[in-house]
Amino acid sequence: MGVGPDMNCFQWQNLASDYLDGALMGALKREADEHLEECEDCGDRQKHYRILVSAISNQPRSVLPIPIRRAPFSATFAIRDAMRRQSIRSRWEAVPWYLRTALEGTSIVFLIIFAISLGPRVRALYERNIEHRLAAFNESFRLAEFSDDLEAVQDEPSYGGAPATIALSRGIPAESLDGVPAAETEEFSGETEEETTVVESHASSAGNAAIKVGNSEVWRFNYKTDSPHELRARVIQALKALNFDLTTAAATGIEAPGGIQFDLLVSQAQVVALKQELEKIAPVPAAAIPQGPKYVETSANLHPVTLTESFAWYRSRSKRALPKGKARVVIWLSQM
Amino acid sequence: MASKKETSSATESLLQNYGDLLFDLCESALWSPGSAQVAFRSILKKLVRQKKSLAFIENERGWVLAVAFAELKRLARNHGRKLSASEQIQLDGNTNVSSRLKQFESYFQRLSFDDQMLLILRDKYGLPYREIASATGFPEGTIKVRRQQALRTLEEWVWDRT
Repeated sequence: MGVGPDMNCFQWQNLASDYLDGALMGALKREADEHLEECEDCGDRQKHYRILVSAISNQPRSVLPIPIRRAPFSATFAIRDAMRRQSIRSRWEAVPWYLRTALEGTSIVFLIIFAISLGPRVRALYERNIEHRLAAFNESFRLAEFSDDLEAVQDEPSYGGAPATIALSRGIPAESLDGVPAAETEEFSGETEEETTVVESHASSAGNAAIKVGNSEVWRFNYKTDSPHELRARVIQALKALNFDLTTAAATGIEAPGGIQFDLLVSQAQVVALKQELEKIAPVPAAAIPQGPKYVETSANLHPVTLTESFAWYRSRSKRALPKGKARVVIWLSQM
Repeated sequence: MASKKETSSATESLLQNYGDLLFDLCESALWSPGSAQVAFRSILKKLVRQKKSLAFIENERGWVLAVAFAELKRLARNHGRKLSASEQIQLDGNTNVSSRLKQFESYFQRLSFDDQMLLILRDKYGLPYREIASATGFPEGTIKVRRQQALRTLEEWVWDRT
């Protein structure tokens, strides 16, 4: 079959494979030869094709290794591990695509669900961290606020120093004002319920003799009053009566947001007496008075005090060690 | 000691007649001795299994090549050697023909699996187009055209005719 007197490059390209193989005959071969002589481009291509074909044919030929020839299904070579890795990969990829997709998708979904379920836990950890840091900040804030107390306490010869200093400036748990024992109370063991129960009314002195003051205890006396300043004078008077050292600011009452606080470090033997004195100045609640409010005499002068005050006390174990033989007393006069 | 199964007559005859061809074909297609061994074993298993079920095979070599081609094509998808980006850049950065010819195998690997197999079967083993067509499943005319196109592509890479 001839292609015409003038074979073009496109026609020659179509016949290049047969030309390489020497399969062209007669007129077709003649025309192809003529085209190659005329067209430099096709002539160069033809030469390059022959070089490429010879390069392919000269590629080395491998011979089947004898171990494989003897045992073609079980023979292995030193590259077994690499093949095993490859076979593992190929085994997975040999699984049908829809199964692979389903398994991979299911795994991804489970991973996402697991990650989402971790969210609340991570958040709880974060919030707990925030709370710890806030508590530490509040503590340091109170330390700065009651710096006079710290100096006075550090002058105490029997005082241990920083740990006890920090103990004296701890705040009063909010639960104590409501009469509910604070969390610290739960740490205290070996006491009867009567001793740890918050007394909301005027306590009788009958049980005071049985009270034993232990080591590292914090005694809290909370008053709710309309006039903390008036009550402050009475507390100071009670402390003077017991010959307490009132040279420090904390011993004479420090004004804090919401009231006035006394913070004392007293010997364990004096705690019960102090309690009795404080109970004396704790007024009777208004509900117990049949004829309206009464006026209470104070040593300073007669000051009208509305008898809507409440009094509560409780004790707990201090988280920080106090000097031996000492107990911490915190008196809180909160503004109603 | 080889098991009875491994030294069956079917296996022995296949190994005797086509063992070298198959192994070399596997290495040429997969470019890795390890992969070639896996491929060879897989092809031989299929051949032995099919030979037991076939009563008569008209063109045994064509049948062997057909099974080998199909299996190698499947394995080449996962185990075929792929040039890394740095190798590709190096190939494109060759400045003269002689250095490119030295790296002819790398350029050859750039071709598709089908084109590589066509050139190997035709130009390395000298098999007739009819046999190549029965092995690959392509028509003879298509094989000639694809061979020419593969050679042209190689020529453009090596002699920088793009």
